[in-house]
Amino acid sequence: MRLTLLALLLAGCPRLPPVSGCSPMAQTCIGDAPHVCSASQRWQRAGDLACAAVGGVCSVLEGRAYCATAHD
Amino acid sequence: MRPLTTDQARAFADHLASLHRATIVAPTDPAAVGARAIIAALAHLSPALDEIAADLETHLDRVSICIPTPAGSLILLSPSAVADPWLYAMTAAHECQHAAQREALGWGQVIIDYVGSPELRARAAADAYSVGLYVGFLLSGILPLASDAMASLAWSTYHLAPEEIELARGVVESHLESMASGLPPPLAVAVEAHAWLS
Repeated sequence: MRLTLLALLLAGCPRLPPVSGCSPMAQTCIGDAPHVCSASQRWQRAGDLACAAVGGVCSVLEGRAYCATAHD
Repeated sequence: MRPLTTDQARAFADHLASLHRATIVAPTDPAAVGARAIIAALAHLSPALDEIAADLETHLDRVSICIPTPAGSLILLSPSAVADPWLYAMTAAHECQHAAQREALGWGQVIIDYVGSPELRARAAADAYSVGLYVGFLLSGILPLASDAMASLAWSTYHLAPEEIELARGVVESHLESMASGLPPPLAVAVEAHAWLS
């Protein structure tokens, strides 16, 4: 098991999104999904679905990205 | 407030687990003993795993975990999680979100991401806590606060630095804003939980 796990860890690296140069803790909509900027300046997605999948649309209000209903 | 019996909580949890190739193991189940042995073994495999696995081993009475395997996910609920039907449902939904992450990434990559990147661990944990909070919201009708999740995320088990905790806070706050607008957070397990509980 030790060898299996070692091989697993050597086989790949964490799949971080590319560095975008965003401002840490900023939020935005990308592809109809809320994203939060990490300290390493990468856009990290909040959730695993697009807002359309929950009946909404991604919006940014007062710096907060979220899924809003169409009439928000 | 929505009443929920233990049997209903179990049925809800089993339904979510069935959608994500997960098996829920109660603390008294013999499989739980095996799972604890796996965690103990992991704790001695490498320095990278040692801190996280050792902490989990120490706190298994209070911490529920999702163990990714090639065949699916094994969800080990803590004794405290099964003591109350609402907590059972919220915790199972949280762990099923981790099972969904395992399905999306594959069992090897999800381990690499979780162990190898505190940033990805923070994001994944924030999504999972948000699913649990959403289930609590569906049951209680009371919009949760970010602080309800942040106390747990800042706990030493996750080994997150302050900047990673802030990332998690941003993700949780985004999901809470979606809930406040009347929608489920954009998480597959949250949508499934909403469908079952509605």
